Amino acid sequence: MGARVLIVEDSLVMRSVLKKVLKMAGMDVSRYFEAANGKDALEILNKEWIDVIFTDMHMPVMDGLEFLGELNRDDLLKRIPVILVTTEGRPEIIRKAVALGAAAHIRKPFQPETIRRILEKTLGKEYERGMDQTLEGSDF
Amino acid sequence: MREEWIKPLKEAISEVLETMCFLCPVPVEPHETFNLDEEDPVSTEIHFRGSGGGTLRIEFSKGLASLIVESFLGEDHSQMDDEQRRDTLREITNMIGGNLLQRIDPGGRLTLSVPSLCPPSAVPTRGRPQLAMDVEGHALRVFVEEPREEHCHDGES
Repeated sequence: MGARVLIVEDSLVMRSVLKKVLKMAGMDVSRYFEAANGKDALEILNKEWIDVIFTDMHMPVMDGLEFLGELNRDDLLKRIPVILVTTEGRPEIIRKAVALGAAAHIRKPFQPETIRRILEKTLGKEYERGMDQTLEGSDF
Repeated sequence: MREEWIKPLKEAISEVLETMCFLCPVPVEPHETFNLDEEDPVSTEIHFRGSGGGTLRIEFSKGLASLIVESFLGEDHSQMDDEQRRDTLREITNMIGGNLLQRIDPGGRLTLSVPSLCPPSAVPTRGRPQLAMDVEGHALRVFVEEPREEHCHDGES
């Protein structure tokens, strides 16, 4: 089974690019969900099991820090690894995000290889199994 | 004018366009005379708020705007709608702004605004650009200005 991924990002084109990059990194994107902000993401998380979350920081309605705070208040949701994909680089903001449970931080612009390496590190064997299955039927 | 921003700005634009669009911008000198060869380029704007901040305005020739959108999304330009085009240019501007911020303000003193696409009527009288780059035969010009009123709104939050 590949991992179930949730992308939280207000830019429609950035969600599309991230989905492509995840596919290039070997993820099975058939189990993929997306939300435009933290509030919409929480609604998805109430209905779907998610293995890993990629989130932007600057979003309308509910930004990345508020979203991480909400996850952190839930005993089940706070176990889901959260990877920040953002232009945000201010040290105090990143420190706050890490304190709230962010597992990794990827700065935009990013190389597909960076996403692959962070996924491998974050998901470990589960990612490797998913990648094997995806590559069997991959058009890459 | 923020002269000290120019060198890191060249690096930021190069890194973003090379990494996300596989395009190689080349600085053009003298940049003051580098024209877009068209009347209505696409302009984006992002503000750096805080002490020592300013405004970054990027003008893309129409040809470059199309090339960036196609390269970023990996799709034929004719298959995209206007919102995808606008969203792509905003996102590229956001990345350039974030990348520049990291270079000029590692301590985190400044904050970035949400980038916006400027309607032609909102763009102030053009002065001389502080930087011009040739991107695969297309033109990009950058204006760095002192903080001023934020007047470009394109309906996005």
